[in-house]
Amino acid sequence: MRARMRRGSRTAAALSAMLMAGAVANAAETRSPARSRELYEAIVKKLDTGGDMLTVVNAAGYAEQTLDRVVKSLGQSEAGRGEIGPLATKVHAFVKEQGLYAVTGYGFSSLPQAEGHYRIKLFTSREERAAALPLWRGLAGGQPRALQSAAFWPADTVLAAAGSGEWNQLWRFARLGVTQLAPPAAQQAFEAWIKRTSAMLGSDLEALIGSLGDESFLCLQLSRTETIRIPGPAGQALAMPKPTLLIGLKLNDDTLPKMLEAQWQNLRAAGAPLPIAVTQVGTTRMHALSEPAPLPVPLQPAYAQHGGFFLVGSTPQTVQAAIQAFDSRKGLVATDEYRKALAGLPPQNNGIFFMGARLGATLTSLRQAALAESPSVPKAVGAFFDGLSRGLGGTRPATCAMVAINQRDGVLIAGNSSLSGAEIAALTAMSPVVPLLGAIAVPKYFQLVEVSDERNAEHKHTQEKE
Amino acid sequence: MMRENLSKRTRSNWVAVLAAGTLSCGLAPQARADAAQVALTKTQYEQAAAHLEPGGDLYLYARVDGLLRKLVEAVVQGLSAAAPHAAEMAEARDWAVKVHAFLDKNGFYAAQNIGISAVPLDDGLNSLRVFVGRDAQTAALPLWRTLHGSAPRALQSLNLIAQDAALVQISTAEPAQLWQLVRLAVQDLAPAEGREAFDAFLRKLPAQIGVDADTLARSLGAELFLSLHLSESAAITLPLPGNPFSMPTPSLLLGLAVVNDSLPRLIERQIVAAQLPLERTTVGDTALLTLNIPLPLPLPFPLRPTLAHAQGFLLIGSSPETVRAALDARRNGKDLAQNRAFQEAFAGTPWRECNGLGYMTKRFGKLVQDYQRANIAQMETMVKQADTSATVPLLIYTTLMREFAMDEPPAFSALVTRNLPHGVATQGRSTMSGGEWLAGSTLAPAMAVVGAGLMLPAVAGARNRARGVINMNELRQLGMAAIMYSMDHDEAFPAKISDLENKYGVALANLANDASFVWVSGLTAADAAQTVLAFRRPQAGQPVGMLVLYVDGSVKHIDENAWRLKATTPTLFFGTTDPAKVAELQRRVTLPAPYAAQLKTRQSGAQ
Repeated sequence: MRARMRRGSRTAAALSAMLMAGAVANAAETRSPARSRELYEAIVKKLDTGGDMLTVVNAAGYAEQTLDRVVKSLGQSEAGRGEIGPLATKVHAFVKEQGLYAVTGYGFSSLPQAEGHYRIKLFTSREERAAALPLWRGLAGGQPRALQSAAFWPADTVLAAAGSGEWNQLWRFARLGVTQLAPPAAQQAFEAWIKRTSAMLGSDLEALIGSLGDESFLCLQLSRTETIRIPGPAGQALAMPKPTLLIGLKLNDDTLPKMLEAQWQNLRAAGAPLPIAVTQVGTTRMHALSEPAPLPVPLQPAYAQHGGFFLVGSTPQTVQAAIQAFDSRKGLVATDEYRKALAGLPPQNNGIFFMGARLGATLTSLRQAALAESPSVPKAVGAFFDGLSRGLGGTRPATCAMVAINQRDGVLIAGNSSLSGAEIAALTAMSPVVPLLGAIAVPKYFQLVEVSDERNAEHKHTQEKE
Repeated sequence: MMRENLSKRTRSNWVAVLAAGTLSCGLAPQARADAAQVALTKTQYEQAAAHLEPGGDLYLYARVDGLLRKLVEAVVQGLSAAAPHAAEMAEARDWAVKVHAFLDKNGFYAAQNIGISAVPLDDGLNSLRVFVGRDAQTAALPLWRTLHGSAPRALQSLNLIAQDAALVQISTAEPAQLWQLVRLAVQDLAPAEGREAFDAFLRKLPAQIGVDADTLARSLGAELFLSLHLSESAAITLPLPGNPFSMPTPSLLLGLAVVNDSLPRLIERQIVAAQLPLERTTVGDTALLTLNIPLPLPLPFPLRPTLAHAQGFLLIGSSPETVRAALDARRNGKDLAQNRAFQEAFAGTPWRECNGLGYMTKRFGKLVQDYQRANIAQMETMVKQADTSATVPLLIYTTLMREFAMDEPPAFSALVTRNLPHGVATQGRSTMSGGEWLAGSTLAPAMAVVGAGLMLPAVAGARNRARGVINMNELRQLGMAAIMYSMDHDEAFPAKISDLENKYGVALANLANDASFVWVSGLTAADAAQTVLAFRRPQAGQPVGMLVLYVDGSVKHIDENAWRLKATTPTLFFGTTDPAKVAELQRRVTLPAPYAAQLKTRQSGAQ
């Protein structure tokens, strides 16, 4: 076991080293001027020029050539002997077959608009042939269409994301990965896990995943009328609008609701006290936990099947609001803020992201309240951060509305944001911190694994002696 | 106490959280992008785009106008808000206000945008362009003149650089403007005591060096260069451990434009005052001053720093030959600018009138590549010896680096910089593609850190193991040489190791310098195979104990306890239990006093 663990960690580290070395070294790959121009023009025509940011990167063949060279050089060297070389070859073949090398370039633009907003566009250029492969269908979905998700979002929604990614395709991708890359023992363990989970659910896991449709969403609401109090940094209570969460999954059939119903019936048959209350919302049956959880944040999970979607809310009221919003079409989609934010964006799309002004305002006021009321933060420090925030313009909350469109030659994300391109770049520039931390952590991790292995072995040895 | 600590910790955690929160919220939007702002954004984009090249594999443009100003103003606003609550904050605000005014006045806020483009060319190179847009009004301020000088012009340095230059960097930056900036900074930002101390320093300076700082700064011209030359005929060997690396003999030349001889004379005065050995020669009517300083470390390449004042430049070369070559290049018209390869490298660029130039020849690129390969090979050897948990990933890392490095063409670049009214434009050709630029600026630093992180423990381990192996090998070689000596000398081993000097191919330098090394004289090849013939301590970092060479030529590492026993037990030391033989050996063999005493003490104790 110990040897296998060590081998596993070495393999993982070996693959990381191989990818990093290859990625940098392959950067000098010669590119065709004509192909470069063609790709540049294909990407730039999806973007806005003349704004405060424009980036076009040609990535055609970059990953594939890198891995090609990595696999080739490993095959000819001592380093590739053992399990590393064959594994790299398999990974390369799998990644190629599944369309991960299909990305040919990226583009990003930011164009200032009226009222401090920016039109943001992000385009990932992809080979057309890869669009129908499981990974791309799982992430981006199929043809753009009018998504139904937004109709469920209650009017007090402040953050929402919907996508037409297909869960069953992602599952297919994962299964293919296990079949093609995992060693036989891991494949068997995976199959056994599927069987155990199916038995536990009382329903075939594959059928359950297959019953999930090609749309899902998640949204956060902040009540306009109710407030809650949460503990602050020094134990003082901070008031904030009551938050609730809603998740929606489009269903192809009723396997999922039936599975849950069967679970409740089993409990009932076993004479166990049923913690679920069933109520009617119009013509829809809603199941909810009988009692809310004793938490400062309201939590009384509820679910219902409505309009072809399976809705799960953090409270029964959330699910009820979603059903009413959908039926009346008077939820978030009817608000001025949402209509204005999405104005001009294609209604036929594959994903929607919305962040309303109230989310930022709430976070800002929570921060200010925490600063003002916290005895552990000196007044001068609190005042400094407050002034700094005002100076940077933080008093005006961030807003954002984007749609994703799965096009023939790539995925375009377009929308309006109160963040400029340079501000987004500044956030992105902070990302190198992650590999730096990784660099510090990785050697330490291996040391810890070894120490842990040795201690386990010593412990086992001591136990055996005893 | 514990409560106090907890409170402090809570406070610092919260300060960190609030800082992060504030900054992330601060990245939220704000400046009202009215029609004028939108139009200005477009104008700035078009100005930058005119200096970039579309249609390649990388095009990057970002408007940064006002970002730094906004950040500093926000800090001032934060400190102003905090000032009523703490006197230190009020002081900090006053200082921040001064800094803000200084930065504004001196052009630090002038950068408006940054653009980069890379377009692949048919010959496999890439056309690279970089543009930093700037408010035209600030071009004449000290900061920008310090960085890039004034308007583009013909570079005088080119006439002083010989044609064998492999790496060249020229700039029309104005050091005098840097001094001006420093003076302004002290005047505007330093506290009264700081200003007084600075003034006092300036007042004392003429007495110390014979010239005042302002005169000296004014004597500096508006051009400087650095060139590295690689000899076409001579070579040196760099002592890479285990794998010496041969390369053309390098030489370095530094040039600084001067408007008079203040600086050359100052340097000469300082050298004379320091009584450093100075050799004076001439080339034509130019005097060369060569310093013959004995260097504390042996260098694998010649270093005899030489100064000359010629053609309006102070030249500092790594040898008199380098300076002579520069003067010859100028006199004979065989300078870099006349070199066909140079002209081809810069074809299509405005190199004849510019503000800076960077030139890396393929010859230099190949040298760097060869050196990298030698290092990677060395690293691979060490990794193989290290045998740690990171061995496999490191082997893969080094293998791939070697494989990829061998496949790539040697690095080359020829870039020209011009200081234009609206910004600083750089253009030229390079082996660096857009992808490489991106990878270099994003992945490479991360990779270097990860690689170093993985490498350090393994390399340290490998180094220790390698040292151990070297120590043992030296004893083994010594054993072999001693056996060969005994064959020539009636079975007798040498009385001292110096008897082996220059014989049997044995290197004695390390052993002779090792204070722990002991040679047991008086032994013969007929003595017991496991009799100790020589021993030495392992180096620091090695397992403690002793490395022992036996009469039969074998070498073993034995731990401290085993050695202590062996060093005090005659039967073990002489590898025999025969009392008569032990007694005979004790009479015949000569050991350094402490060891001989130890053996005797133990023997008498045993009796």
